[in-house]
Amino acid sequence: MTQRTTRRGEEPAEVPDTPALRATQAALAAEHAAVYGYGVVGARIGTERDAEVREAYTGHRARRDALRRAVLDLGAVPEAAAAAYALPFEVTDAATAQALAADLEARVAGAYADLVLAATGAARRDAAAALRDSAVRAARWSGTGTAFPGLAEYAEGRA
Amino acid sequence: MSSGPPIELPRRTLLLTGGALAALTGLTGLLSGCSAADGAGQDRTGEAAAGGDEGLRRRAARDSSKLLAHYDATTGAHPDLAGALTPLRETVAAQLTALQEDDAPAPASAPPVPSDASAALDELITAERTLAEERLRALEGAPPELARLLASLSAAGSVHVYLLGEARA
Repeated sequence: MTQRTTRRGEEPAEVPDTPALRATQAALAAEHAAVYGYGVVGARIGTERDAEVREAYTGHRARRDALRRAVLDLGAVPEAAAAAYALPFEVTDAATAQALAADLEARVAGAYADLVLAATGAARRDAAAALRDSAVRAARWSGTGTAFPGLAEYAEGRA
Repeated sequence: MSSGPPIELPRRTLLLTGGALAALTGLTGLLSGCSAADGAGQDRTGEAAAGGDEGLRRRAARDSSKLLAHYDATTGAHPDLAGALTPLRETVAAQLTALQEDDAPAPASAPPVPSDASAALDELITAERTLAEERLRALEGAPPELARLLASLSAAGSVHVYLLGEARA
């Protein structure tokens, strides 16, 4: 990441640190982690659910790219991906790979719920659609739903 | 993610405060006042148009109450579906609790349930999908905290559509 200028100017931008920008960057960071994480999932999950992994991976890359554009539109430099991410638990087989996928989706859902709060208009609608997609994917991986996807204060009670 | 504890929800007040909200609430009150005489349908329209937090929240609670009654009626008519429906029903009950303020909405009446179990599931799927879409549309005019909650409830509804489809298969 050497590009420090924004799309609109020559100078490194003095970007006001708004809640919408912070939430967009946080969602972008969550998508970076999901893209990385699905690489791990794909390596461990076996062939049976390969198509689902690919669909999710592609979907998260598309959202990541959209969020990058959104950050640029807000006049800031998009959050870069880390070289590697610490996994929340060891992924050794198909079952732990599925659990990781569900966990990744839950984290992404949380970031999008916060973005719904901070954003307005089309950005809010997009965040809500992304929250929905992550919640449905989490349910596909875990076989169960939660009452309040993305809302950590409800302790993610399983339903 | 390991499976968490069973759902046990704190009642959380998500209402915002502030002058803008006070203004909106006043407006909602006016609209609700006129439309109350015109029946429930008009009432909903008035509340949505006003975009007031109280109105949106009350409407969301009413919708969840209606959905809960739909689950109960379906399980009552088709006890064999209880295994699949009970966890989803509990989710809807938890959502209703989170939406309720001091006044619980009057118990909603359930629609008639088809005698065919698969058709009954289809109607629940339609109800969940319709409500999830309505809640997405309601985001536009919702205050931030309520928008976040409605987006989550809409996502949960889409999850139910998926899970009900699995139960039906």
